[in-house]
Amino acid sequence: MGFVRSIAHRMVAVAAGFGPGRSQEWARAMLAELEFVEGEWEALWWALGSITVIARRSGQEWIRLCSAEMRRWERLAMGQMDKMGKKTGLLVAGALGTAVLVMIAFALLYLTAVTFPQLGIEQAEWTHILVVIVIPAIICLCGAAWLWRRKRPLAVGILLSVVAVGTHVVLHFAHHFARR
Amino acid sequence: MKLRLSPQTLLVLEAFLEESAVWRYGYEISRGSGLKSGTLYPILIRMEERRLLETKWESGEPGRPARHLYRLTPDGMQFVRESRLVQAAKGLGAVALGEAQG
Repeated sequence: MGFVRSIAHRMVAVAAGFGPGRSQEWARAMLAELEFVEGEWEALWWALGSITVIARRSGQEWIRLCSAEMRRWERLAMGQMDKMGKKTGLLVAGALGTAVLVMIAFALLYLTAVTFPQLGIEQAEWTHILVVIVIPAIICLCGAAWLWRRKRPLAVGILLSVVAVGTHVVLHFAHHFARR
Repeated sequence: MKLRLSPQTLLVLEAFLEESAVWRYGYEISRGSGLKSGTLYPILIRMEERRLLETKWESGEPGRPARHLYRLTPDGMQFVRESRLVQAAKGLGAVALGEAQG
């Protein structure tokens, strides 16, 4: 192999190394053909043409591969965001559900107190605790236990609000007893 | 998916049409069509992508690299026939236009 041809061969061989997948096969085809090109300078022109083709093909394939990878990541991220959004939504729904239940209990108690003032409900603190805190808490805990396997984020939301209400009650009593 | 019929593509198709069943080397097609590697191979690649061309590797002789071989697929032959008809129709159209203007 002459000097010019060996340079041409090396140039194409190096360029062929950069191509991904299918490009490499075409690069090998052009490289193999270089051996059969008649004339040293013709071989160099063949090599230069081949390098141009390899560079263009490789560039196109790298761009295609990169964009496919980016699309895959985008889909993955969107899917993750969808999942996160759904979980957050359920969690908030659980918390709001508990709050609504407590408010309904409170409204019922208030209506009973207004409708039947002779019962003296407003003065009985234990009635408040039982109707507004204990009964809704039991309902919520039962609901959370039932939902734990079916819709865990919803159950977690319910439990978090039960914990918040419980903390409020504990703080209320601590403050109450501290005053005494 | 159709192939754009540039003059260079037509030269490659003509080179294949001489003996469509015969496997050909890249350099052989290049010499037959007068196209350089930088022009010839993108056409071959596009033809292969559109399944107009089938390729295979020749089992190389000892000490010589294995060469890539090319041949038209049945779809490729059909495409060449159709493109020849299109070219013939264009040629006739040009002649008719020339006569009408003359």
